[in-house]
Formats: sequence, C-alpha cells, structure tokens
Amino acid sequence: MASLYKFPLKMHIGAPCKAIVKEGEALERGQCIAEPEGLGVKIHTSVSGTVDKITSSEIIIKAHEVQSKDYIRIKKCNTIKETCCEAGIVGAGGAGFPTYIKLDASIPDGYVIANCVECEPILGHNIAMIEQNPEVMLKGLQYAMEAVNAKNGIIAIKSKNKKSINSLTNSLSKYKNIIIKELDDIYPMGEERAIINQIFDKWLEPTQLPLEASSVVLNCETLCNITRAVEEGKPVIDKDVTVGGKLCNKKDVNIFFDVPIGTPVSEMIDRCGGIDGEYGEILLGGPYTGKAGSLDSDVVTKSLGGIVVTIPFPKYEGNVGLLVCACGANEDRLRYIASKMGAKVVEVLPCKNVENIRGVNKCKTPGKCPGQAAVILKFKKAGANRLIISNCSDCSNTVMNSAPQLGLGVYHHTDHVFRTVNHQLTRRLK
Amino acid sequence: MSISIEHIEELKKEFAVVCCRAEAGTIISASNLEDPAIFEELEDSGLLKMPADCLKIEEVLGAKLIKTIDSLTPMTPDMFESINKSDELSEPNEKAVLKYNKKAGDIIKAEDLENPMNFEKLEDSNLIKLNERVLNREEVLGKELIMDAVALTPVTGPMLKGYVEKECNEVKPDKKQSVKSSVLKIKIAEGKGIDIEIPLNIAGSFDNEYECAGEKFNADTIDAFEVNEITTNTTIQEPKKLRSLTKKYYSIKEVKFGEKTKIENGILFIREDICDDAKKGIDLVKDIKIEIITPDKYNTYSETIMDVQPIATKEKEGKIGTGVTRVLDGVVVIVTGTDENGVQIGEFGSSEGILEENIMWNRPGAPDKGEIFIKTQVTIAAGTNMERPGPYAAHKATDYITQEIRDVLKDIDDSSFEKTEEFVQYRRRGKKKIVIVKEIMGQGAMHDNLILPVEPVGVLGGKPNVDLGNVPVMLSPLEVLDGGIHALTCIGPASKECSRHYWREPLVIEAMNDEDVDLCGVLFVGSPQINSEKTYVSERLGMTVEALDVDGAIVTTEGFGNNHIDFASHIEQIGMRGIEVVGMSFCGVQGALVVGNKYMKHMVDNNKSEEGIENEVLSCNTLCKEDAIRALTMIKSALNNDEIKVPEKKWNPSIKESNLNIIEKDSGKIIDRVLNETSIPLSDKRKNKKK
Amino acid sequence: MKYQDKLIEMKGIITQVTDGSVSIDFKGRLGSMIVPMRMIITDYELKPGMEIGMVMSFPEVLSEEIDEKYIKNKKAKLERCE
Repeated sequence: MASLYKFPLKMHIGAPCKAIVKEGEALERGQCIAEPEGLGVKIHTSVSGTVDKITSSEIIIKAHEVQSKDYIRIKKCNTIKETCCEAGIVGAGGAGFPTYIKLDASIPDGYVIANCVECEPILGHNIAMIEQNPEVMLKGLQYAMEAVNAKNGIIAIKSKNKKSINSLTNSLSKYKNIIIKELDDIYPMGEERAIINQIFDKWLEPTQLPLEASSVVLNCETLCNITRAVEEGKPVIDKDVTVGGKLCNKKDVNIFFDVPIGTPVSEMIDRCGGIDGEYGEILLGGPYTGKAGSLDSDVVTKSLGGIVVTIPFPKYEGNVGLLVCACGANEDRLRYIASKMGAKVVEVLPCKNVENIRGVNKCKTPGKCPGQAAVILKFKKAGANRLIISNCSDCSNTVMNSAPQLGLGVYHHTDHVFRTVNHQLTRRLK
Repeated sequence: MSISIEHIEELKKEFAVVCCRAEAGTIISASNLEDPAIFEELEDSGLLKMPADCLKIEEVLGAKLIKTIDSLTPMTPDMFESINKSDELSEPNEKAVLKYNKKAGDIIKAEDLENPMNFEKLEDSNLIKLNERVLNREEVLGKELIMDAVALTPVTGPMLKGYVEKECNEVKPDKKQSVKSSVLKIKIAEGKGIDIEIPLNIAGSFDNEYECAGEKFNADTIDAFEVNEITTNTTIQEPKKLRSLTKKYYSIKEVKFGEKTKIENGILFIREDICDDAKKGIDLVKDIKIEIITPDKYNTYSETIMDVQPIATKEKEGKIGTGVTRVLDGVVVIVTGTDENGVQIGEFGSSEGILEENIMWNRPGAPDKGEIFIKTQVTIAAGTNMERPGPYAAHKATDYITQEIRDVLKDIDDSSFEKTEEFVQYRRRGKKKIVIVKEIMGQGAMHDNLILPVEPVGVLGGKPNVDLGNVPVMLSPLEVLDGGIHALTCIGPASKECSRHYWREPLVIEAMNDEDVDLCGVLFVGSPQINSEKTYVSERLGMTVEALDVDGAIVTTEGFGNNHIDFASHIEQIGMRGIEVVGMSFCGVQGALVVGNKYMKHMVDNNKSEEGIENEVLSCNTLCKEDAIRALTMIKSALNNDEIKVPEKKWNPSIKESNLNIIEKDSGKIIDRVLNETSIPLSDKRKNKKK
Repeated sequence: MKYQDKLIEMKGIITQVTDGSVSIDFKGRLGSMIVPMRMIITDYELKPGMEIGMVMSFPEVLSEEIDEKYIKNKKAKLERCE
C-alpha cells in the first residue's frame, strides 16, 4: 500500500475546489476534504490518515498502515440531486461533468440513457461490472429517472458484449420502462451525441446538450455511484480502473474494482507486476482520448478509468502533418506523439467537421465522416510525407481512401497503443 | 481426467480447463488440467463453453489462481495474478517486421517482431512494404542487426550479420531434365578475413554440372556465425528408367454364350457349359451361374458385389509388373455369391440390390458406365459364407472362367489390339524419396488379399497376406498396376478396394508420374485381428521404411474399424523415425479414427458421400485421383516444411474443396472432381427424403 | 436422434467366431449381434466365451417411412429364387 495519496483539487469540469482541512489534521476515510467554489462537487478522502501537505492544486494525505473498507457516510439529503452533489459524483467516463447539474432538469417525456458503451478499446471495467452485478447500475438508472422525472430509461451497450446483455436482460424484469439498445462496435459510439443519434436518429448541434433531445446521458459507473450514495451514503472515494499494456504479469487487460481515489498510477502498475522492459508512455484514459501521464505524479481520480503502458513510439525523422479530429486526440496530443517519434511537424489541420466550442473541439457528427480529400491535398502541398491522424473509425476509413494514393504514409495516434495489446489498428472499415 | 506430465509438452498449445475444483492460491500444474482430447465432446454436450480469451496450457502452468474455480471451468486471464507468455515464435512463415526501434548489435528475439495481424493495414497506410526481399520471422530469429533500424522496419538480409546474398536465380528445369537440389553446408565457427570463392563449375567432381552463379561472401562481416546452410539448385540428374509395362487393349463389343470360349471380331464367346467345369474340384462350390449384364440390364437385381476384376493376361509367360499385358477393354468380371441358404457372402452392409443404384460408376475399383459385366453368382456350401474357404472358393471358381478367357486372349493375333498404353517406372535420384504404404485387410475370410498371382488379378500363385503373417511386402508400382493384388476383401462396399482398384490405383499412378518425387515402391502391409499382432506388423513396417531411407511416406487404408489402430500405428512408427507421413483413409463422420497420435497431422479423407457415411454404394468412398493429388501435394508441402493447418474439430467437407482449389490455383491445372451417390438413380427411399 | 447421448455400458459374450465375423450375445437377455472381424478391437485371440464390453444407446426409429429400397430388393430376390 502506498502511504501518500494525492487528491487533485480539480477532478471535474468547473473551478478547482477549496481545501477545508489543514496540514497535520487527522482524517477518516470518507471525510470531506474540499468543497466547490462555483461549479464543482465535494472531494472526500479515500483513506484514513493525516494531511501531509496542501498545495494550490492538491491535497496530499499520509495514509495509516491499516485501512478499513468502511467510511464516513454523507449526510442525508432530501433529493437525489443534492445527494449527488454531497457525494461528489461526477461523470466517471472521462470529462468529469458534475452529475447533480445534469440531473437539474425535468423531462417527463424524456429519457435517461445509461452509457454502457465503453467505446474506448482495452477498457473493460464497466462491462465487467455490468456482467457481474447489473443491479447496482440498474438501480442507479432508476434513481436518475426519478431525479429528472423521466418515465423511460435506455441502456446503450455494444451488441458484441453478449454476456453483459444477457446479465442485464435477466435482471431487467424487475425494472419498469427500461429497455436495452444495442449499438455497433465502432469508435466513438460512446460519445453522448453519437449515442443520441443512434437512438433517436437525430444529430444535436455541437453546442446543444443531450437535454435538448429530452435526454440525460450518464455513464454506467456514474449510475453505480448514484446508487451507492443514495442507498449507502457512500461518497465517491473508490474508482474502477483497467490497467493494460506492457506489464510483467503478461495480462493485456487487468480490471480492478474499488481502487481508492488518490492511489498513485505507479502503484496500479506495480499491482500488475510492473512495467515489462522499455516503454513508450503511460497513457491515462483510453487509446483515443487518453493523454500521456507521469509515473511519479499521476494518481487515480474520479474520472480516470484506464492506465495503459505502451510500447515505444516508432521513430520517424521526416515531415509529418497532423490531422486533428474532435473525436480523438487534440493538437497538443498529436504534437506530443510527433515529437516522441522524432518527426518534424509541417502542417496542422483540423478535420472540417471540427467546431471549437468554448475551447473544446467538438465534432458535428461523431462517427459520420464529412470527407477528407481536401485536407489531405493541403498536407501534401505543405510537404508532409506522413500523417498522424486522430480520427474516429469512420473518418479514418475516409483518410485511407485518399492519403496512401497520394503517397502519404498514415499513422493513427492510437497505433502504438493497439500494437502494444495486439488490437486491430484503426484504418479502413471492413 | 487430468493430463499426465509426460504429455504436457505436446499439449501446451491447447486450451487450459480445470478438471477439478481449484482453490484460490493454487499453483496450476498438469494435475489441475483437463485432457484436451475430450473438449470436443464436452462442448457438444454443453458442459463446456470456451470463452474467447481462454488461456493456453503453457500460459497457466505455474501461474497462481486468485479465484476459486469449479471443475471444467476454462481459465481466463482474470483468474490469475500473472500468466506466462510464450517466448516461442508464432507464425514463423510470416514476414519479419521490427516492433521496436533497434540498434546495431541487437539480437532479434521473438518479442521484437511486429504482430502480422496488422500487416495489411500498415502496408495499406504506406508505412511498410513487404516484398520478397523481406525475410520470414523464423529466418531472422536470433540474428544480429548490423545497422540501426526503427520500429516498423521490415527485416531484409543486408541488415543482418553474416547474411549471404543468394544471387543464384532458380534454375529452371531444362525441358525434360529435372533439377536436383543439393545442400552445400559451410560452417565457420570463428574467423576473420576469410575469402570463400566457389567456382562456377565446382561439379567437375560430380557426374553432372552445376548451373549456378557464384556465391558471394563478405568476409569482413564473418565473425562467428550460424547462417551456415546455403541451399542451391545445382545438379541436374536424369531420371533413371527401371522398367516398363505395356498394356494392350482389345475392345469387346459384345459378350455371348457359345459352343466354346473364343474371341472373334470384338465378340467374346463364353462356353455354355463352362460353369460345370468351374465348380469341379471345389467341394464348397455348389452352383455357379453367369449372367451377362449389358448397359440395358443395369437396372436388374444382383447379389452383393464381392469384387470387380479386369480380364487380362501376360504375354509369353511374362511376369506381372513388366513386359506386355493383354487386356479386354469394355468388359469386367464381377464376383457375387451367397451360401446355399441364400445368405450373402459378407453379410454386413451388403450392396445387393439394383445394380445401377449400388455402383458408383468410373471409380478406380468400380465398373465404368457402358461396360459389359460377366457376373458370376457362386453358391457355396451352407454356413461357409463366413469361413475363410468360402469366399476364397467363390473367387477361385470365378477365376476358372476368367482363366479360360485369358487363354484365348493369349492366342489373339497381335495386330488386332487397337490401343496400347505404356507405364514406365522411373527412379528420380535427388528428388524427395517417398514410399507408398498400402494397408490391406488381413483379419481373415473376407478380410484377405492374394499377393502376386501368376496372372493379373488371378488366383493361382497368389499368396494370401493372412498366411504371410500380414508382414510388409514390397511391390513395384508396376506390379500393383498389373494386377498384383487380388482382393478378397468384401465388406463395406463403399470403402473397400476391389481388385480393379489396384489395377488402376490413382495414388500409385500419380506418384509414379510425379517428377518432383522419387517413388521407390509400394509396400503392402496386412491388418491382423489382434492388437499384439498389429504392433508386430507395424514395427516391422517401421524398420522396413527406416531401412529404405525415404524422406516421406503416404500410408493408405481401406474401410474403417480396427484397421485404424494399425493405420495409426504405422504412421507413428514412420513418423517417429523423423520421416514425414501423410495418411489417407475414409473417415467422414462414420469412420472417424478410433485412435490417434502426434504424427497423424497430415491426413487426407477419401470420403465422397454427402453425409460422410458408408453409404453402401460400391467404391463411392475409395481413393480417387483428386485424393491422390491432395496427398501428394500435402507430402510435398510437409517435406518443404510448409505450414499445414490443423483441421477443424468436426468433419467438414469444404476443407477438401478448398485444398483442391489451392492446388488448382498453384498448378494452373483443373482437377476434375468425381461425382458421388447423388449422381446415380435415386432409390425410392432417397426420393422420398428429397420431397 | 433424440437419445444418442443416453449411453449404456453393455457387456456380452462371444458365442461364435468365424473367419470373418464374431457373434455376440448381450448379457441380460438384451439381444445379439454379429459384426465383421475388423469392427472388433482385441488384445487377445478371439474365442467363444470371451466377454466383450461396449457403450450403446437405444435403437431409435427415425421415421415412419419404410426404406423402399429394402422392400424392393427383398422382392427382387424372392422373384429370382422362384
């Protein structure tokens, strides 16, 4: 067990929280240690111990040697929404949007959609959770429906996850008005607007929220956290994590349930036997949207689901063009990969479907390609010999129909991750 | 039942399933693992379902369980703290592409190579180019790089230390000459500044000449290296003609009864009272009748067909397997019979009934459509249908008639033979040497064969293989094709090999004429009844084949039953001596092999029936030309170390078709597929089924 | 077939051995069977009185259809004998 646990003050979208504990103060697991100033949710300690240090960005807690699974319960709240705020629930799927704000709606004719799509390859903890214990998620969905007065619930899941679907179907009889919607296995099926398009066959504008389709989309693990908060008074202090890649235990995928938040990423890797030889990067998140992390400083947070140790980047000391797409890596991430490969970036262009909404790239139609030929021609003119692209499955397919014909080599920013775990590369759709 | 430690090495690539409940904390060993041999049954009965991520035995041995799992649970990664990954090279014949950025001096290990699963995409993306210069995975394993190379670089010869460029283009066979490949081995343990020059015509010391460009070594790079085999196509050796056999054909248009047996103007007359003489001196034979079946009588009833025989005789006291054989074309002898009680000789799955519904026309062992049958119906003493002398007597009585025809055939003027066919037996030294092993039945009575009678498919002079103790007997290919085997075998009509089968044995013909192999002979071995005798015979076979010093062997058998035990044992005895073996048998669904061993990896199924069963249609499931081609291609692939895929668990007839397609594509030749029972008139039963 | 997985272990006695066949009576008065030599697997020379074992299921009638070929052949044979 690591002795130092770090709690970043910003584990969600919004402003950082403010520490409400002091250095040296003794803490019990579950105790609130930071409160939001503005948009945000409370943060609770996942370990019992003493506050070691407080900085502008994090609280470091020195944990006791012996830890119990028990925790301090949150105070009883009147509404489910309040409970979510009190328990510090944020979207566990990646972005970390505060859940109580999503639930601040009333959609009597609408839907709560359980996002069980887990569309990032390698990550498997959501599907594993549903397979083993679908009830927790189903109850959470019901609470969420209650919170927004929605009559209907929809579980969106990839049809390839047969076992989980079976497990859900078996439990479903107890729940009214919940149906299962099976989706194809392509990226980015799990993107909120892609899910809505799949279910309702309509595209939301990048600026629109799911609410405009009378829907609230919540991640599977987020729903589980709602159940735990409502029924057991448990704050978000534990997280399900998938660790994969080049590990000494040779298992491509390792799933851990209930990992205390604040656990160093390095410890998670040690629990899989450590890193096996040379590696390229520690990828935090999934292959498509993840970012390079640091072994020394990164920890498990409320929205960190994946840790992947990749093989080294292939060297390429030539001119590359970066094709930025909203569904995958952003420009920074592509530049990072190019620099790791030793390549010289000669041009950066966005996919024509990208819209920048308040500093975040959004795709107009996630998973539906607008055509890429014009962009590829520009790269060619700029002198790029190879491209690094960050497109979704459908757009990558389109790129493959023009770039190689023009003599350009094509890397996808997920290549090194997929090559690590022997997964199919993202290229042409079959 | 758990698997034994001795077998673990062979089974390491099989799926890992626990045989009994295993507690968390258990370190997995052989005793925890279920025998993979029974997986198929378990899956069929629904007791076992293999998940996609099921681990292999090698991955779990020594691994520690973190969960308690119940018996018959397939093991998956989530049950273990850690698992083993094999460092063995998979897919050795795929191209070698580096997975990591490498430096000069690095030794290439299995894990350094990119997974071939994405080659197509990487090529498509212009990131790699895989041409013939790129080496295979197994060729680069353990080799040292002499230059830095980045990840995703395909490995070619010049990147490796000690690599010798082969400048020699393949020598094309010069018209009728065939090419021998020989191996020049050079091993240099250590050395510097070594210059090796191989003169262009080194072969002065050999009988034949080299045709090869020089080999160039870059002596500077030679240090201590193990790349020591240079295979070149070098000498050309003429095939050696051993002997030839000529078959002369006299065409028969009509068969009639007459005063005496004679052949005139294409008409064969058979003496009316011949049957009286035929049964004389054979006590067991009570009666004998001859029917002449012309094509318009194909729809008549017949007793079980015991044998189909050509009518042929040696010219001038010649010996079987050489010289000239005279053959009557357009007519065959068919032996049928019952005992006095009307019980069929060989009363198991008999093919009695309407002739045309029970004969698979044009199989090597069957009559051809349009031929006239001289069909004998022999009645033997009551109750002797299952005694060895019974069926033998039926054959002997029939042969009396055939012999009288042979005698008149000998006297026909040489000018009246309109067609001749020459068979030449070559030895092709320098080619891969192979032997054909044909297992024949030797369990007794109608499980017997006469070997090398005086006349083609005669009785006189032939030695029953049962009496010979079923031990291996070597025949030349020409002896086989000249009626050297008289088959008494008469059960399982669809898969038994009649006498005529050996007379036109397709595997012997194909192998003898195949310029890529050196067929040294056809070894006949009987299949005795008792297991200890089977072992005895099979060990003799192994020793014989070892002494022959062949590179490969093709083992065939007929029918199914306990003969599959010695069939498996023959393959094992040959295989364990490091000789590549291909096995051929009827298997399908019904004749699935009773036993198996690790050498039985190259198998060819002779089944042609739709359902994979003994369908009681004469010769339907016997070895045909298309099977012979598959077996020869397979043995050649095995001898070239080409990968042969493991078959599916269940019988799947489409494998055969896809193999034939591959051969056609490779050779550019069309292989005619033979028909099966669906091509002959439907019996009412089958008609009803169709509705 | 519906009951092919209901396997019963059967024991029997070899009652007759000919050069081509073996007759077997099943114990428990469960019938008899004659099979060709090559369908018997044995480590010993076959003699009447030896015990055999095998696994069997029940013969199941596949349909009410009559195999016309069988009837036809039987008729044809009778006609020939007359």
